[in-house]
Amino acid sequence: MKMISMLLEHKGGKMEIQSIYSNHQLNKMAKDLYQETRNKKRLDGWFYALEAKLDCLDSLPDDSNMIKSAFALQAIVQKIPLSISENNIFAGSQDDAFSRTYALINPAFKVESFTGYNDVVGIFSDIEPNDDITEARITSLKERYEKTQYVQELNQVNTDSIKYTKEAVFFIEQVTGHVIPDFKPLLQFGIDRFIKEASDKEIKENNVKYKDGYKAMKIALEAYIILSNRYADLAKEKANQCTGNDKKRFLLMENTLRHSIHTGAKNLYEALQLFLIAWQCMCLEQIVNPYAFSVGNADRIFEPYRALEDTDRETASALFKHFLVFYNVGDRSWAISQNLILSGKSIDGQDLTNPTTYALLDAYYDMNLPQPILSIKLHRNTPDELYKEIGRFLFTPGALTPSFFNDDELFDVLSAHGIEQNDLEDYSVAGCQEPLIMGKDNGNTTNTWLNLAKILELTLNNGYSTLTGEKIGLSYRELGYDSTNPEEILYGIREAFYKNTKIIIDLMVEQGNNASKAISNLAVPFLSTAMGGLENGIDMRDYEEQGTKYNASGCLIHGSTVVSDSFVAIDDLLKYRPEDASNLLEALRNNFEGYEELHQFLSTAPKFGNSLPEADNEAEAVVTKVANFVNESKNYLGNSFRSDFSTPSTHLLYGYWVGALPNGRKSREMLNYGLDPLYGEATNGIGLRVLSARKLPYELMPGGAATHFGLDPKYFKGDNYYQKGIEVKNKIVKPYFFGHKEDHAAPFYFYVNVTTPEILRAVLKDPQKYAPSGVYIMRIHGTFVNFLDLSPSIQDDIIRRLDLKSTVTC
Amino acid sequence: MRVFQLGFNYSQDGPGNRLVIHMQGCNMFCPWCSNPEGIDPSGTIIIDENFLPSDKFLRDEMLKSFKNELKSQNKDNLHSSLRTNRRNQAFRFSYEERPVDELTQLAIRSKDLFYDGGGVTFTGGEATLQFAELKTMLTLLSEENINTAIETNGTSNKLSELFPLINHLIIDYKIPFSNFHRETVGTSLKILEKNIRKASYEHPDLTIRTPLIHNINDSKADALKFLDFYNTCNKKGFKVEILPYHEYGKIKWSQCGMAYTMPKDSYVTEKTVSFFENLFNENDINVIRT
Repeated sequence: MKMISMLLEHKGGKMEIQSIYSNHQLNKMAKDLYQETRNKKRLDGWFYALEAKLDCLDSLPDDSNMIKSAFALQAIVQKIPLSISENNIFAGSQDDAFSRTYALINPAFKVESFTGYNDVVGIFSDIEPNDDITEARITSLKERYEKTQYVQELNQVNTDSIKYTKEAVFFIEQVTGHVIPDFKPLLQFGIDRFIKEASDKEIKENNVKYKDGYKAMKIALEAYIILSNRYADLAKEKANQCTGNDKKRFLLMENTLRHSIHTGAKNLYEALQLFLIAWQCMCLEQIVNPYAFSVGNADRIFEPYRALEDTDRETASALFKHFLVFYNVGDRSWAISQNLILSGKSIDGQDLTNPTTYALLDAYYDMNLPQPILSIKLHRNTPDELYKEIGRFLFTPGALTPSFFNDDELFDVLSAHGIEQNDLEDYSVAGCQEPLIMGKDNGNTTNTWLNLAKILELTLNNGYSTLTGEKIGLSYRELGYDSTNPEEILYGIREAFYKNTKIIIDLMVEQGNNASKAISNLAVPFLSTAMGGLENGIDMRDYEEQGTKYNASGCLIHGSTVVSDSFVAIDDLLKYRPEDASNLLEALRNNFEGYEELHQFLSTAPKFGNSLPEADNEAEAVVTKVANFVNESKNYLGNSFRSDFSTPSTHLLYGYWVGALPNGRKSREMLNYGLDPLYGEATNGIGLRVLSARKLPYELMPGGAATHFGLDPKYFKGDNYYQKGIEVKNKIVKPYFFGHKEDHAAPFYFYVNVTTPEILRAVLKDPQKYAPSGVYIMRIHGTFVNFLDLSPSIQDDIIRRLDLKSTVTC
Repeated sequence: MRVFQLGFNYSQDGPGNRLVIHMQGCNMFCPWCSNPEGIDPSGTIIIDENFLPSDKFLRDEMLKSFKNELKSQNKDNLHSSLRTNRRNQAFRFSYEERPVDELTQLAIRSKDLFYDGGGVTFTGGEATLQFAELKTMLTLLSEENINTAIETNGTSNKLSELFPLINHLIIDYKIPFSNFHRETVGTSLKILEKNIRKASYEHPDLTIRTPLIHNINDSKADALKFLDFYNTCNKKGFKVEILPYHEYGKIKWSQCGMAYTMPKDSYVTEKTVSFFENLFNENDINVIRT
């Protein structure tokens, strides 16, 4: 509020950009700009940037990691080729930080080829040689990169965990991106203030490490000026080459980049420009592929600047359209999972929806881009007006759809896990659905990935994989069994499974921490300034000291309800046909071939998602136990891991590496998504699914949780999008988020796709008819995807995952 | 409580979003019934060929063997085994025992799902065949201020005991001629009509439902006979809903091993439906469509 009132003192006038272009022109330029992006088939910038970085690092004396990284950032921003399009109203691009790599939107991707996310030299296979970037040059850079401390340490992690990762028992990831920087002070005061602050602190600091830290931050912040100046020069050059409004536009751009960056933004245009250059620096600092950096509560960040000149909704929306295009990299929007969140409540319960919320929604709706991902915070007093706006997103075929967060519940969950009251309303979403505090929280969110279903397979099979026959896990004896009698194995399965899970979590955590150590070689002084680093001089990736106010590591937990359903099925087997205990293990090894009748029996056991007490209670037990194991594990700084029950399409990829299971799921089939029932197992509509879901202990999931509802549009009867938005509130949001108080915290995340398999198959068959723009947005987990860009296996997964029998609403 | 189907439904059996509990067993045998698996109070075996092996030989062998078993086995034993050790998707037993307490808890947890005036609806089969369980649960739901509805064939002589516990009472009134009624569905009209009449005076929200079926109850004489009866009731105390014949349950008849005997020409025209509705309207009877 203080900041808003300060800014309001400057209130008056009209943004210059408004006098140059009409909103119609701005909108058209934004759309043309996106088309330029879609036409961009090569992403070479990362190669030049990485080359510049390594050249710089090789030339530097033996200095601290932070200082070396800061100079490397300067080298990158000095050397990378820059350009400004005829359709740009803002300078800046993050294209040079990303390669054409991300698996799920790569049409060549095959489920069986997935090997996790930690092959850091895989990027060199994703660039086609040309006259400038020759094969020899690629090979040379790859070899240099492989020799870096970071890659060598990471390779060691991969070597040490290969026994488990090769069949997806767990995966390790060195986390880049995945935080929410706080650039609000930069927008307010300009860059100079922070360079001075870093400089002053460097002078006063006696501790060598912190002194170096401040120095590195100062150098890194200067990179912001270097980049701005280079763009300003370019803008000036362009201004000199044109006349009329275009000339005015480039001069405005130059002026903003040359001057406003030093003093802070005075209107929405300047705020957006300053923000984008900061974003570019942040991404270049973390090349290559810093996925899932997120904007945070964008409406709260930019509303003060909109309010300063009382910019109308239409104009604000036009500017935001250009802002949104920035986040789309290349032909398939290769920078994935960049989240932007809107609305929500304050700590004292006031709704924080503001005019910028609606302007951003207008921009999103009109542009319908794959990035950045839109999320919306809801609470019991969210205004109906917002639900009405949501309605048009949900019920327009092929339009992007926001995911939803439950502020009322998340405040409590985060508070219980150590987030201070004053910080709660600043939680935002990094990447897909991981709640983190903007500017204060390095959650290291995707550090570890755990596959409970594979652990169950190994536990049941004496440590052997039923897919490959390889010995991966502990034997029966090592797990505490006195006998190899199948009936006794099954009677003791829970105890053995949990014991095995705990052991594997410990191994995974050790390697996860090693990966965090590896990436600490790549210090991030620029980002650290937006993460509280100017308060302590510590890099946010520091392995020994905590640079951010909050720190944790994440664990994405897969297969919870597949495992719980398996336990229930085993119980039934032992109760009704104990004589088949030995047949079960053999049946699993044979993927139920020759055991069809037994398969039928197991498939009809109670399943999670139908509000059947035995199935729901078992799911609650599995989630509780595993979440506690994870939450009690310590990361590289001695902080807790955070349980995150989400599976960003990895339920499909990990399922490929899991043999048949006692719940009747066959070998290599997908696992359950997030916390959801396994596809096809919940068959009695959304009401009973919601009741099952509400039995789970969300308070144990500080890292996040995920649920998807595929909704058939025919169940929403309103006459228009707005009425349907209110229907979504009453039929889905209220019961799921704000319903009957259970023993546990309520769910705090879900997303929807409102469509049917028939509609999607029609889109694939005739994209010209259903998606003339070439874009038909679907949501998979925390990210939008252009359905038409996906690999066939992911398209098929999306169609199956709609699982409409589980969401019949009538 | 023997329940053969449970789930939410919107505004079909009572207002708003409702938890609909289908209770096993019916004392009528309506050949057009859309839930034939719910008719036999002792349960029904449902054969779903979608879950049989795709190999034709294996499929036929399994079917043959099971059907032989059906003939030779003690029915209760077979039912029991299909719920326990021989449980499977292809040969399924129709109902499950669900404790009243468990279902009541489910309803309480569902309160926020009862939007638009929703609540719990008991239907069947015929819900009043399990009268004690039904009354207990209705009482518990009333104590929780949960809206209740019952869709009944109206033949229970204790139905009025439930009136204070039911917010929305839906009684099916299928055939107005007593002999033809008994001949077609197997029960007398006497108690049914007595209950409707009583409810029209005593229950604040009574809906009388008639499935309109060609050659069963769609003639002018039928319409007038319905009207004659309605004239004996408190005409301000009920609404009438006409449901045109459909075949939604047809496939289930064969899955339950029973012949679907309804002729193909059982559908009624919109004109016929309107004729009934207009006749009732003209005689001060409130006609609704949902």
